Amino acid sequence: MGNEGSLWKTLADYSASADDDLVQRALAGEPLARRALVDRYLPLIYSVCRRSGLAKQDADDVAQTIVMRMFQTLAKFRGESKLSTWIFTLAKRGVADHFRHPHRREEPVDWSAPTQENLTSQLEQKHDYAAHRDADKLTQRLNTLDEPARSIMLLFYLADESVGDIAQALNLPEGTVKTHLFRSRAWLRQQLELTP
Amino acid sequence: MNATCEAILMRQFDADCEAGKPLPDDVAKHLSVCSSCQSAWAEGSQMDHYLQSHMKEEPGNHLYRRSYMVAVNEHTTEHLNWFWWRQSAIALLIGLAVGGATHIFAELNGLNWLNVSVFLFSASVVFLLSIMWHLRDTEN
Repeated sequence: MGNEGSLWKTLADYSASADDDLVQRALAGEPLARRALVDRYLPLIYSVCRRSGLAKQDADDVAQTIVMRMFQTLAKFRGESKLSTWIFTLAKRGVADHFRHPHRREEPVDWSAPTQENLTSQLEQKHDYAAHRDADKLTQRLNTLDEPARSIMLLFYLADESVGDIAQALNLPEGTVKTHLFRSRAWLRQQLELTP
Repeated sequence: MNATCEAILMRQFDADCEAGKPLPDDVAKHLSVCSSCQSAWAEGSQMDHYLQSHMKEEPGNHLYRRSYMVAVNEHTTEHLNWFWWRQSAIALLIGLAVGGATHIFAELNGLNWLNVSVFLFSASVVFLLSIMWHLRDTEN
């Protein structure tokens, strides 16, 4: 039996829905539609935070603030661009706000009398270091790229946007977007020493 | 690298040249005769794969849980504005109705001070009750 006429929708039904449909249902206050939006776009929001150079804990806080803002301003999404592009812009703005207002909660640790939380955090950092070494190097190099090259790279590789969508979102010719992608990719390859 | 080679290599960003799909005829033809483009194409594909796998980072489960709570509890600015306007209008209407009834009663009994105070009191009580009702709905 199809789910079209079904009164009760499951999370799987929502997950398969198109963005526009999900937005309308989320605006109508359907909790599962809102949850499906989180499932679909939290990785993008979080990745934008991390690739902008935020530490894990800060990235968690900023990502949550962005999710909150997303639901507060969802009615302003008119469907003129793709939802992923709109959320990407929201995430970028959220990260910029965080850097503009230095309310980061990193406090100096007294290592003569560390708390259990300090010790756990340091252990986690050591554990994560090897796994994220490559990504961290990539983040550093990405952040040295000028705009719009940086946004183009993030939109293409992170948000999986097509060249056409990026060109429309950033109001640039498609050829310019491709040139930025081509040059930035070659430069990153050189910087990351991936040349065989 | 000449303009033709560069144009061909730029095609790598097009949807029809995605990894796993057969290459368009013109691209395949050029790559078969241009060895420098062939190696540049392979390097580009390798870099694309690297960037796609390293750019994305999966958030922790705790962040999903926190975000689900935000998603359910957070209302849009327009929704909140609508809520406040609606409650205010209801409070005003009920206040006016109670005030009107009190006015008739006060006129008949010569108690003019009663009108304003009953109006304000009834409007405030209705407004507070409606907020409490809304908060109960949100928690549910």
